[in-house]
Amino acid sequence: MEFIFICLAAGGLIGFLRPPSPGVAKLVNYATMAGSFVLLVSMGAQLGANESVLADLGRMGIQAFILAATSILGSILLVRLISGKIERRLSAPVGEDSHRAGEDN
Amino acid sequence: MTGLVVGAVVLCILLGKWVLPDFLVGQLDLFTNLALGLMLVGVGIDLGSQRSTWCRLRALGWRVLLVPLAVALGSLVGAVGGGLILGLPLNESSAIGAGFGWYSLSGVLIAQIYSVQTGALAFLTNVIRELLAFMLIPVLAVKVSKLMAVAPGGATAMNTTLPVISRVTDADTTVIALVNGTSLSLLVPLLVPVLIGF
Repeated sequence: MEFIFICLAAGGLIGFLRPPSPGVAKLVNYATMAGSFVLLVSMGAQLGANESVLADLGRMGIQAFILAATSILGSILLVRLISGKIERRLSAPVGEDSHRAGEDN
Repeated sequence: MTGLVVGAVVLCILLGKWVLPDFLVGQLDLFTNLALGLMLVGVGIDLGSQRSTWCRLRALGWRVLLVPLAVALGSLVGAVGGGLILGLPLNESSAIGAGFGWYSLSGVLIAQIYSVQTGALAFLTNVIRELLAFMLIPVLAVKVSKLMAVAPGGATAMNTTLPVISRVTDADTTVIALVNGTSLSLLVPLLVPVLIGF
């Protein structure tokens, strides 16, 4: 677990202290995607090699749908609770808007 | 993109079942740890360098942080509720809910720290969350309120679902979505290991 926090904190510090140029940011994005791809490949292979997980995939799909639906429902209900406080702020003017749209999760 | 990812995982499941020799499957942990480290450093650099997002947050007011707080808390409570229905232990359901839609990281973290089976469930849950988010965001924005469109996406509100949110809401809500996604993305690698460890 320490490994996870250390890697994240190290990256956060590097990014905060020396924000990457657009070219380097693109490289970082590629490296992150490559890491993500290796993780998914590895997880897929581990799943395939595990007979008990494979036998359980159908039931797991239903469980996953229920968990996803209840998570979203919980988020929607709590945002609904606080939306009055936030929506009043939305009428105030803010600066220009730019996104990091299109990046993968 | 989600379809490609799911397709790649299915292909690798088939490889793991029929093609990869056992000794190679045993070495996957090493590759996974290296890739995880690389990915987390990259994510950290990305989050740490987003000064403009935090500046926009100041312009909108710190109260906007209530949104990621509500999304996170609602997601955790919802997942624990769903877990109770399914008879899952509290640590598993809460850690799965703490993925906030970030399937690649949450699934692998849980598979590494806890079990491959629960990691697979986290992966599927968060893929389904993202797919449901794509369907719900336009409906919520039109039928309920623009702010509500930020809730379903969770951490994906800073990347994959952001274009949809941006299209169906306005500039202010898009900024809130970006702040929401960034905050939740920061929370995933912190909360998942802690919650699964309980």
